[in-house]
Amino acid sequence: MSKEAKLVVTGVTKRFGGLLALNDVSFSVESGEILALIGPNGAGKTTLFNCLTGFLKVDGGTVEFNGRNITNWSPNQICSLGVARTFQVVQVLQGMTVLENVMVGAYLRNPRTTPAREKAVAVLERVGMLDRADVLAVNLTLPEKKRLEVAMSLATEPKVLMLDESMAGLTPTEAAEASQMIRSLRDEGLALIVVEHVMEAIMPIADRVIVLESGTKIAEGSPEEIVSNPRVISAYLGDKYAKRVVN
Amino acid sequence: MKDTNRTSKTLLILAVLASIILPLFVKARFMQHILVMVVLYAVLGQAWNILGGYVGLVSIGQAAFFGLGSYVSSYLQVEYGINPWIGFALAGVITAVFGFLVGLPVTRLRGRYFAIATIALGQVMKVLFENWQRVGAATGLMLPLVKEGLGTLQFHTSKLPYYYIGLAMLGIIILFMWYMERSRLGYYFKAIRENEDVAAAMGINKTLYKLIAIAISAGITGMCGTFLAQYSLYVEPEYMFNHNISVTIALIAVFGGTGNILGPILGSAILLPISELSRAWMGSTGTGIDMMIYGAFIVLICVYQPQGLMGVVRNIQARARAQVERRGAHV
Repeated sequence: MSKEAKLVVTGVTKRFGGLLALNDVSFSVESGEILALIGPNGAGKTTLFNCLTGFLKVDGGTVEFNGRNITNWSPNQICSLGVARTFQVVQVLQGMTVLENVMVGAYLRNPRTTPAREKAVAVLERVGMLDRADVLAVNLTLPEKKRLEVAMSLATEPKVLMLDESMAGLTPTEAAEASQMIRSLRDEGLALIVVEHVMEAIMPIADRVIVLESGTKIAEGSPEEIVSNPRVISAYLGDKYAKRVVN
Repeated sequence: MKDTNRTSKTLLILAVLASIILPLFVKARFMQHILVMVVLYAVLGQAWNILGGYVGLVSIGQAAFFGLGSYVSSYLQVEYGINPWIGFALAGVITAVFGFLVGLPVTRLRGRYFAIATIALGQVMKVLFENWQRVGAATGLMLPLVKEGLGTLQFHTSKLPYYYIGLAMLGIIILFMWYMERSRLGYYFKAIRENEDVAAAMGINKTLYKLIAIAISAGITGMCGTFLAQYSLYVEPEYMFNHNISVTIALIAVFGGTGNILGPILGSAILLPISELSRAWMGSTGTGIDMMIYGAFIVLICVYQPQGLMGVVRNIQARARAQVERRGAHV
């Protein structure tokens, strides 16, 4: 599905007026890897996504994809290059059918309609939504919409896929299905950046975790290291708890 | 499924034959005039539909393109004696380029702000041409009366040739839109209408596609301007850049149902005869009762069928389909 790919983020900084939303954030992600991005509400996870995919302009730092500087490119250019994303608040093309939604993504690499439709059908089969192909997206349930969003991104044949809370609001069974899918995407050679609040779902599948708090990266490491990191615990639960856990 | 396909194909062939043959029996010049206006506004509604119905950019300033197109061919003809067919093509090209250039700043606006900007554009163009001495300012341009015929694009004895030229234009634009609906262009247009952020995240250059849409829409509208100039043999700012043209175009498309091919045709076929006939029958009473009837009709449709006439058609189709399914279940 994809060749070797590497996304390198160096010192990304973003200000909203006086608020420092992202402060000198650096990390990298490679093909065949799941990078989990966690942090309390307002930590800047979604802002970081928006900066990486061109929806927001960064105030400092660089984003490189396979050695190419893509800082502040427009969203469509970044998608054409092979970095796709989903949105935190689910965003689909409401008035179009599921198949049409995915076809819009598939058209990026297949300008003609017949191959685009074939590609879209293949992707829908891959995510298990082929039976819903003719349903209007507006009539889907929330989990279905989230899955459709992933399908749309996959149809653009990305090398890096960024999922913004694609498991929030899912039942445990649905979340398990979703993490199974994320894992199989990694095994196919995608690089994944996953923002997630559902710790039980993300921790078992993540290869590496980075933690943001108030726009600053406070920790990076394997899931095991992260859960025992006192700074992470204090960020989530407060200093008092951190002391109690560590001692 | 096959049955419905065959029915719709039969209906389509019948509609095409009717639109070609029936007008031959229309002898009254005023009725012929209504037919010409119906096809002209069907094309204009279709051009609006590409921009407003598919991409979601609601324009209330199509008269800017319409007037510009009419002036391009007329000026070339009056000043340099250039054949109106060449003027017709040039009007399309020049208004398309104009639409593209205007679109550069204007397509950055979303929703109602785009609509307001297009209203302003229409007004600015009108004032500009009212004061531009070279193109006759407020008095406009009279086209030279020449021998009638297809080559000169002038017909004096009957209005029907205009109708058939308009019908041909309508046929071409329908074919284009049929193709567009099944191609990447149509899908991208709809994606931008549904959600600009998703469109961008799917790799769509939304600025480019909006500019393509406005250029196509403007080009077709400009060619319609040439058509009306050849029909009335007279161009004048108050007539060609009239804000009513912009409103009527948008009204027809919305009234018929946007985002599909049939809507603007239905809208034009129903709204224009009502407008023209009520004007002819009651317009001279001086009470504006024709506009009241016209307005009341539009309000009724807006209240009871906000999706336009296509909404009515769809409801009937859905009911028929449900009945077929119910019958199928009993067998």
